[in-house]
Amino acid sequence: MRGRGRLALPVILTMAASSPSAVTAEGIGLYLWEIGEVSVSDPSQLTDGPVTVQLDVANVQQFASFLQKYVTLEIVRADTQSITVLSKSTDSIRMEPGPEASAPSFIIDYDEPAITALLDEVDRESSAAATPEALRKFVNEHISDKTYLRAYDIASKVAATGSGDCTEHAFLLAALARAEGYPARVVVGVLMRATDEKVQSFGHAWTVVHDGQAWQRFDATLPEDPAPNEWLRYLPLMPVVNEDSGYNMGLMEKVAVWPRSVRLVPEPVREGVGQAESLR
Amino acid sequence: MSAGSFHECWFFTDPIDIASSTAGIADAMIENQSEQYGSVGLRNVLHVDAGEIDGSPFLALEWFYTVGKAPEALVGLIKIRAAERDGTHVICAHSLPGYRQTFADGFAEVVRRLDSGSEAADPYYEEIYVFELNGLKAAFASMTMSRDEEGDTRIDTTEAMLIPISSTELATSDSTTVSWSTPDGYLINAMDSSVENGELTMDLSLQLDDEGAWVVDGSFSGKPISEQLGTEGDPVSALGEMLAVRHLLQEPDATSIDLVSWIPDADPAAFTHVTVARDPDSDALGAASITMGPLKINGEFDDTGSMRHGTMNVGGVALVMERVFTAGALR
Repeated sequence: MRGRGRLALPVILTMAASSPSAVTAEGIGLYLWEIGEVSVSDPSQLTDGPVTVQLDVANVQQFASFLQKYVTLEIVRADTQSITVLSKSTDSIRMEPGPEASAPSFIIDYDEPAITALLDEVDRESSAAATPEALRKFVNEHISDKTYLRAYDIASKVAATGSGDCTEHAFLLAALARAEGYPARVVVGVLMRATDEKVQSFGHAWTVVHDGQAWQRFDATLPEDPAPNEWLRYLPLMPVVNEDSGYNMGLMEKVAVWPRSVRLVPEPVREGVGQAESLR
Repeated sequence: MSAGSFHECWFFTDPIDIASSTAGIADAMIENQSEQYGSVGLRNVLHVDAGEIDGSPFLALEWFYTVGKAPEALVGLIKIRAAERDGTHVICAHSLPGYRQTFADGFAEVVRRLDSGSEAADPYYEEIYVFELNGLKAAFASMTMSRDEEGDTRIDTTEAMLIPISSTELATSDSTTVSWSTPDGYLINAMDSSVENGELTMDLSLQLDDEGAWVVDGSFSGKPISEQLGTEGDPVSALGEMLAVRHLLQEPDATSIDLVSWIPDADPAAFTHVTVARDPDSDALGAASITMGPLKINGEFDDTGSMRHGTMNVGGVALVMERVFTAGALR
């Protein structure tokens, strides 16, 4: 594409991930981007139970294939424009924690000196082995410059700059977790957040760590996880599987099929599931 | 510019990163105001623009800001325009509210009068594109092609972007590529560098080694990289892509052409597969698409293979590419 604009992929990714409505969810320190919102009669009644969510996407077939391959979200309906899924608070990725989830890679490069130096810092803070939760808090504090200006920095760069948004938090936490012996992956997806009057949806990235039985979510953008007094629902859509030097294209594959809007569906999508438990 | 007009201009005969320099000068001017009148309070991106002035691409940026504390707080507006002409860059700033068009007209006149005296080879073809991202003219790409005595083509491309990623944060991106192409559009070698937010993020060269293998060397994402690329066919240059489109549109029976191209933003250590295809759903003359991985540009091309207009939708981003200038002939 030279000469006609090579499309500056990192910049397009940044653009896709932020503008024109990049937001900081005030009070809880999340750095993410808004996709859409829906009014619900009483957001305060939302619980940890299942909710049904409609995702408007450009390519339903391709998007559905991603979901079926990589995540545990249950597809309950699909038409030409949208996919409706049943979301549970325990949803995560559908992958075995193979050796690649523990190895250093181009973007999760825990073998670089900048990461090693951070690990020394972690060790100094605690004599016991660092837990994923301790690492999550450490990353949240280490990335003191919460900004969208970084264009998908790799973990060692995040370690050095202490700067970034959700993807930088997720990459660095995955690197520290792997270095401490925990299989870890980065997941991109949608975060839904209830405010007093509505439920907003945001594009987001977070880390999952395998505890020997299942992938557990750790969101390093949050000072406290789970955030106190907040209803948050994570919809994992796709893990980051391309961790080599072509990772920008891998991320672009995700951005290319990204939901154009996300809505909480206020009615049950099938008998006995969803609404009755989720929106009492 | 006349004295007392609140214009200032800087001229650079050495290469600069035009987007990051534009943002940097705005930062320095606001900082200067802050030193005089107190700390910066509000600071918002008011306007960005991109375009061309008689064959010179330009970027424009406006910041709104306040300095000092209420009730003595002052409101300020910085307007910056930057352009490149024949290797010389000019950046002008205007620090009074209003006069946007007057400043733009004055800046255009400065650009038209630039004469670098460059002795570089005259290009046989030039083109400039403006990129609209979600309706915001935020970037330009310029390309020149010049030929050496052996008939090979040197292709110089420059891209610059100013992207407000929130009301208070501005991302910048600058990239330059110099590549050489055979007359029939195959890549001979290439050098590519990118600066994001003033920081070098990519500095790579691609060339054939003594054994005929493609090798990439340099740095990418802050890490050194030196790798041999797989052999998946001979990579084409930008000229080769244009020749492929031209061939596709001239052959009634042709539906698509597969190419390999080096697109280091996508993957510096592997060639990217590119498919140029006639658009079966369009009756428009010259309608074709270019697909690379998950990205697809639907465009309208002229009979030389140069794209007049293209669109790409990536998730929530709508990217429109508009050719705003050409000179010479694509042969």
